[in-house]
Amino acid sequence: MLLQTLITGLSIGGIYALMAVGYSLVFSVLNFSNFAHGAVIMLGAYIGLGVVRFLAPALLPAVAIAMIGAGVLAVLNERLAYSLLRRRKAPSLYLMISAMGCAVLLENLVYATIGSRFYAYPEFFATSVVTLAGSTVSLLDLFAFIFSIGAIGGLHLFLTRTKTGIAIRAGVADMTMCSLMGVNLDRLIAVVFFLAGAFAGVAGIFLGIKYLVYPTMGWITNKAYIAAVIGGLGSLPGALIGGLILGIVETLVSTYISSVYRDLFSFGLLIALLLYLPNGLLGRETGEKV
Amino acid sequence: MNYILSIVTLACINMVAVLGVAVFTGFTGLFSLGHAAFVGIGAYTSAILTYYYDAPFAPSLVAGMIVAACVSLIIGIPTLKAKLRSDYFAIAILGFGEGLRVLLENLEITNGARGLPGIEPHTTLPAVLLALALSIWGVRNFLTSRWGSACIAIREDPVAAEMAGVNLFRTRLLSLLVSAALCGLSGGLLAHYLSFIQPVMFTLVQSTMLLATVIAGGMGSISGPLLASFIFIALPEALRVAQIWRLVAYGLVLVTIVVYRPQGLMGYTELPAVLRKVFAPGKSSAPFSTTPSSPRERSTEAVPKTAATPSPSCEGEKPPLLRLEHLTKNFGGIRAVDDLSLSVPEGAVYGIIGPNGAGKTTVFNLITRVYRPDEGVILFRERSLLGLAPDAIVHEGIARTFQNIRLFNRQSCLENVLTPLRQRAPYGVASAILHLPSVGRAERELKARAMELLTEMELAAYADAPAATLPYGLQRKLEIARALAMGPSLLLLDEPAAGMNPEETRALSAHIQEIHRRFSLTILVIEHHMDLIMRICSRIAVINFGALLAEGTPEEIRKDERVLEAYLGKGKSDHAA
Amino acid sequence: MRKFAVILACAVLCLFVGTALAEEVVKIGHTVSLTGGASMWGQSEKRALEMLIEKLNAEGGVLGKKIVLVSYDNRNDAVEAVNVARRLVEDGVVAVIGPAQSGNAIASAPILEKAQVPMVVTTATNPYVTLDKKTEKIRPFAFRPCFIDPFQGTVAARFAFRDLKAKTASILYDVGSDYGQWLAKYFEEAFVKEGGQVVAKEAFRTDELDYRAQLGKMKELNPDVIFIPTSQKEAAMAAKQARDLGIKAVLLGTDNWGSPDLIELGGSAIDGGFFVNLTDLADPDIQDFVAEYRQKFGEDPVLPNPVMAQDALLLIVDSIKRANSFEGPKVAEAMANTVGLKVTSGTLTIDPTTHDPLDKPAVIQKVDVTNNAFPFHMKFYPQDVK
Repeated sequence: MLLQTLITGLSIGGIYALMAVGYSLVFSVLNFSNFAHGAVIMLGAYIGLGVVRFLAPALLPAVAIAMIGAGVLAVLNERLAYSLLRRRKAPSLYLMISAMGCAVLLENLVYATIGSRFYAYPEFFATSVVTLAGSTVSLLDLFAFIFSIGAIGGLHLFLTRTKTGIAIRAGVADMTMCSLMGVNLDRLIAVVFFLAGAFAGVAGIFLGIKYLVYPTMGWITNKAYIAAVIGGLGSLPGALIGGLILGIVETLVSTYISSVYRDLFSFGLLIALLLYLPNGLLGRETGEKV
Repeated sequence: MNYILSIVTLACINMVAVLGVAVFTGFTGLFSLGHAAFVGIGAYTSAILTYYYDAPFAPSLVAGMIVAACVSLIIGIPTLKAKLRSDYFAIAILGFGEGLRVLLENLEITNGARGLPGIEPHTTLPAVLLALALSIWGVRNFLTSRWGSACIAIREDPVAAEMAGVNLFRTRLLSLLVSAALCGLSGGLLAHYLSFIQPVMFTLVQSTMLLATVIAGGMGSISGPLLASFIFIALPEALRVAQIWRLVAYGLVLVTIVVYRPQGLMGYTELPAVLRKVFAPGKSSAPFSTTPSSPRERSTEAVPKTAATPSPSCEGEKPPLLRLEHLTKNFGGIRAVDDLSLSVPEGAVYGIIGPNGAGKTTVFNLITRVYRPDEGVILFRERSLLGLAPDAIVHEGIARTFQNIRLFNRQSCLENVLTPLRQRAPYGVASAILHLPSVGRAERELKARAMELLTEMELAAYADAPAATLPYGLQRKLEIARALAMGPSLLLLDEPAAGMNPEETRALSAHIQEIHRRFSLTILVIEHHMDLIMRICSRIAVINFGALLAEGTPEEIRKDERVLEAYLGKGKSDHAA
Repeated sequence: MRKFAVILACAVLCLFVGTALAEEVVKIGHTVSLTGGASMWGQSEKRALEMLIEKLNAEGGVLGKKIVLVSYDNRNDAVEAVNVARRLVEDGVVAVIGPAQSGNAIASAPILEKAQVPMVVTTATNPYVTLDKKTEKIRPFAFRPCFIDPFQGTVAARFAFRDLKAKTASILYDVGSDYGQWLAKYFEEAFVKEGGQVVAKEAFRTDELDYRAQLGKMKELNPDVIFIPTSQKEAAMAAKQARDLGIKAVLLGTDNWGSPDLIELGGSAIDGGFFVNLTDLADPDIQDFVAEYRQKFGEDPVLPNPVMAQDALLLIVDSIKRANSFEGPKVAEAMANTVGLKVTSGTLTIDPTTHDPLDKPAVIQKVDVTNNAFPFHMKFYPQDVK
């Protein structure tokens, strides 16, 4: 039972991590909580669904188009709701509120136009299971988990090995310095949001396949925010580790203590951790410059 | 008619909660995604009391407020003490709110998710109006008291607020308590109006709505959020059919307001003020008139008596006022301050010079506890400052200004000076909220004293102008006035002449000397303008790469070979560039 | 946007008609979820009522007055439901149909009771809709044409134990939903009473998507059936995840499963499941209604709400006739003494001591994914499980 619990925990954690990465990526550059990330994930799921229903009933084109679509939406979101604030050097509180507003807006726009009904993806993976020492893993979970780790690893490589990636990381270190050195800040930020959106698109498709597609599905991203905070906002390995920890803790609590009080434990863990490590496990100190 | 009244009642109940969020988010600047939980706590507490124990209505409401406030301590104390940055705090309080809902869903006494039906419908419109009026009155009193100005100072600039003697933790916690209590009251009224409550009424969505209302109405305003609350509730009721689009509009309004009109509906003003302006456009706000009986006597009151006007020549015979010993601070791999030892004699004007990035400002930040030193000791009057919080250090008698001016920008000049003065106001929270006569008396005295200080700094004409609208030079002066309002014995000036021309610099030098004399201060000043330093300082320390290069009188420094080589030559070319 | 315009036009028309013909019409209130998660049933419910009212008015209305339906959206939200109830009272309706959800019905009941307006809920199955929880006394103005949750829980338990031959069961429910909490409780009580054993009772929170932790625990205990008293969305996800974990137990649900999209959402995982429902598209008693609805709107009604709403309207109209009055107390009294009234779903007899129906059967439907249908499996009458 323990092994099964751990496997389930890892699989749930992988999904949290996938949702948390985009959120953490934006945080690492702009230093604010993009609460609209959940809404972009939701839109990604709808885009993928549209592709599957009306264009090609296959997984790969759906993933590709959802990534591009959600990426473009994320860039638009930044242009319309954040860029003015960013240029005005508004405090992060305002960016957070704007993001919250976007989340409410997008979610209800889908409600009002597409409607409140639920949709399911076709069954790409027949409910086949792999048996591992008496515990079962579904093929989808295995695939999703490997994909999450791979994608996060790829993003990490991109940020550490490519020129654009290094420019992004330099932007993280000092935004004004970056613009002084002739780096096009707007383009850099567009790249960041596109990447975050692309990850949201993938996360949306996985959520859609694993669960269902409906306007408020983005709320589950709250868990990803918590995972990102546990791992340390702004740190990609942190998002991965935070996601896995949260997934495993939740599953363990559900199995061995109480599924009803599970959230109490995960939120308690979050608050306790923040008290000892105010910047999460791998977050960097973001002291204010005086 | 009944129906309209019921909408008005609900709107007013909502307003009480909005008021609570306005205090916390609007005035203190903390982002909360969990206030619906406090509404829930208030609702359940009061409902359980009247439902199971047949308690009378009014005491139940008060109990709801108290319990909501107490519960807010559970999340407030740890998170605010740890000074979590706003994003982390927002997530923590979101988690807390959701966690509370888990409890409500599972406890026997709350009847779980099934909710409590059949609560006595005690809430009537007059009761709600009374509660709302009392809340507005109490909040207004709170916000115009020392606590309110501390909240606003934190919203404007937490670091500067600390340097104005505001205790971040206590003020933020108090603001949370007040806002939770108001939300609790709103919950109690709601429960006894609907006569049915369920945990699902108090979710993140509700928290978001409360927040949206405050933002749309205007942070830093009471009437704005109340107006917004009414609009948000009344409008969709009037257009009942357009409901699908109601939430779309909520989101749109929120984004548009934050991006294009961040000050919200009312901005940082109140409805009465706007109306007054509209209906009496010719009449400007009355000039502040002060009739202090003996200004001289009062102004020295603000200064600790211990500083007994020493002349710069007799230094060295007393213990130094401030002593730094082996101070070291690292940032990552960079050693910003390296084994620095200094002693500042009482009554001196002490200069610190050094090239850019030499660690001068870091020294100030270490003294005022913005940073914690990695090694070393800081002694003030031979007492260590290391164990004290920033605001406590200010209260010890050390005040400072900032290299990049940090005023409470949207506050008037008078308020900027009043905030630090108020931190020693002799009244408590309860009397402030009830606005007892003693509060009014104390406030009048403080205002008079603030006015005196402004007059002293030749800023009296700008008393009612927002600090941000002042010309640059006057902002510098205002910052000094604010520092002086703390009644310090040691004043730290961080590049006071930055961006000034030679003429202005000369005037400033004279002014600093005047302050030094008038307030019997010891002054520690960082400056690049060598002529200013040479003119006003009795001793000078030269810092390079965080370490002390030389120390002595202006003459000694002028002659020091090392300084000439390492700093002055380079510094002069820097200055010319 | 077009829908919006239509609704707006309807509302304006209602108001206009309502004021202009105040003397010749009788207003019947309708509180319903036209938006939000339950809107599918709400919209269908409203159509069915309008369809029936047209027919009744053609036959001369009630006591010589034409019936006008005053519908307001309660968004499936208790606070909104209270607002709507107050608004309906103000509009001077003689009786109210709805709400469909127990939470909203319980919230609305005290308002309508105070105004002495009879309320006939459609599918609110919680006992405390017609019973005051605090005093344990009957609410004089609250009635329903549908069965109640203890009966539904009992039917599910009996079906599992006797017909599915299950000895062990586990329960997966939504702790944030009053519906789920009640049914979990009633099922557990009834199943234990039958002689079975509830090996696991696990909950999740509303809006949660992953139940694998809870299901993983159940897998170890290997129950014969898993009772999932949730709506079709959670049921579909739970089914998928249970099959992912390799759980083979039979899945058993309640009336909230009975949504046309259950099969689309659950896919192959939900195949072979059973659920309790109020009515069934194949029920011989409602064939006339189904045919009429199909003909008029070109699609199947979203059961069971339209049928229950028609039952409620017929109950109101009949009671007004028998009371020969539009006064609330008199109508309510007549309602409490309804015996063998012919309604859309069959006949209706109200128990004067509980205001619940005495003769409402529950049907068991099977989930057949291959044919994309919920074939009728069996039927339980209240006397069967006494």
